[in-house]
Amino acid sequence: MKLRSIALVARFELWDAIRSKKALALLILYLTASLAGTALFIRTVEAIEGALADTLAVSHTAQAGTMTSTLFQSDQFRRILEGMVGNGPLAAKLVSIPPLALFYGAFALGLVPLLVVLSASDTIALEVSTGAVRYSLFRCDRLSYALGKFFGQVGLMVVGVFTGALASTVLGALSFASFNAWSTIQWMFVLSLRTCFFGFAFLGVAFLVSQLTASVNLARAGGIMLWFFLTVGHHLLDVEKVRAWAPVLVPSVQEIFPGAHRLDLWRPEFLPRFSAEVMLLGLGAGFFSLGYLRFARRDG
Amino acid sequence: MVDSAATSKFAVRAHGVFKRYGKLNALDGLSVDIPRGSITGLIGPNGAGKTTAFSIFAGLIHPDAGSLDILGMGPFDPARHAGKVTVVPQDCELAPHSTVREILVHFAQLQGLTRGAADRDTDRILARVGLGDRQRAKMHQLSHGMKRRVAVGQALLGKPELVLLDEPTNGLDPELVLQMRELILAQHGERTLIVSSHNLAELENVCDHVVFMQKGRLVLSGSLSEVTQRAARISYELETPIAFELPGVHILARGNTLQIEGPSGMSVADVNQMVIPRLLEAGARLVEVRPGKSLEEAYMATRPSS
Repeated sequence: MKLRSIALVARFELWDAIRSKKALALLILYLTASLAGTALFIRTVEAIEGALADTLAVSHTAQAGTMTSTLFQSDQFRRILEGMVGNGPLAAKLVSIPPLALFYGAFALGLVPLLVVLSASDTIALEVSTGAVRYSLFRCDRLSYALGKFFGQVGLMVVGVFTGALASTVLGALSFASFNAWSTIQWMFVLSLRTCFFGFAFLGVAFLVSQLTASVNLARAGGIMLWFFLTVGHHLLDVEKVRAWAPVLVPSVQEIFPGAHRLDLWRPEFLPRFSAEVMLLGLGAGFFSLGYLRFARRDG
Repeated sequence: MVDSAATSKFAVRAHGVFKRYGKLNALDGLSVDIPRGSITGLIGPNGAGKTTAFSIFAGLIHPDAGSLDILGMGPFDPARHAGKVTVVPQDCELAPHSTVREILVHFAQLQGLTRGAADRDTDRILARVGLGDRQRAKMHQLSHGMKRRVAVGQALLGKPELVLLDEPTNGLDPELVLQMRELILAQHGERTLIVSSHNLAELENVCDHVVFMQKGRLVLSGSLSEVTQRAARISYELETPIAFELPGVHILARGNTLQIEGPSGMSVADVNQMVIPRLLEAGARLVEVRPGKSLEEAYMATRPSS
């Protein structure tokens, strides 16, 4: 494995995505999803605040978010949230995050895995199917090639997540009351970074299927199926009855589901958050390695 | 089996190489030695295993069994062979949205050249394959012939010691075939080239060594003059057939053609000096003198009679 080869392949992957307009399409997808999600969030807050104002027989606020910000700072809301997440410090942390950033963090953590799997599952499969891989594999080793492709996609994901955050921030600044610019920007940055850790695990999933097959369609379908399995599977394993059935095994198995570490990304304490980030990086690397076991031995 | 890189006389040494795809034996114990510095033609019918052999030589396919020595450095390993072995694969796409220059610079850097050296080498290759004016064109904007020239060009980047060309003239018009021939011939003495093609007449013009393959095995291998028996056999094509005999010389008459196997030790020139005056004396109207068999005849002689 050569770092130089990895960097060269990653750079070419990124530039090729830009040249082929795949990066542009991906960026538009991230932007559209972020803007649509944020707009929907603001509309919903506006509707709830309007309904609340009607109930309390007070005048409507000029912009959405005034009541929400006050609500976030109330003890009652913090206690409700504590009951929902089952963790006092975490609830306290969550209500300290600006509502818009909180929304974007949760939204991105849900959306990015799917976008990553949709855009990256065919990366290597496409090159194997077209034979393009044959121009590279006599120039660098397979691991450098596969890692280069992987980090090229990591670059695309990072750009997409941060662009989405920027769009969401701009829209929030224009139409959300009590918009604390500095705090929101800081949290947007922090939560985007954490979203990237989460997305990294799913990029590993995308590269697992991408290295298993030479069929582009199979790779895409496999990526979506694995995303679905990991997302739904994690929730299924969280069901009380399933946990009671095998109280030791189920939580252990759950560790290999990226979703099991999602909540820890919000934690205020460093150690559990750091552990979650390391686990997610490990899962991404693990899924990638599983695929590489096949790619290293495949003909092509 | 592995010679030291500096002393190895062979660019490729393969011994008992097997490769199976399901029930199909793509390579069935292929053993072949390809001399360093030669331009070798790899010849065989479709399915003979030529592309599989190429892919194994370049490490793109893993053999099931057998031993390989590429350039005296053991089996292909990118750590040892990157930049020394290059390939022109058959029917493989190059990144369609990248320009010719971007692709060539990227490949040059990937095989170890610095950015500056890659730029300079790309200029050299673009001039060599005649694509200097199309260097900013994207691959999908190029014609088939141009794409093929880029594919050949990428294999000549840097200073490769062994270049594997799988059907390099496939789908090219006659003018481009001629250019490709000149390009291949220009490499003679600089590096070893192994060329796979169905165009035997074309191969005969560029190769000095040939390897015949059938059903994944070596059928015949040797220098072009050995395989075509150029030193030993001469064909005389006449306008009309005549009866002709020379004491001590084996003559085979086939229609308008007389094939003469010269006595051992005699050069082609010596045989001609002996035969041609007698032929003219006998009233023969000589149309063509051809030393040895054509590559096509030599190849067909190795094919099982149908």
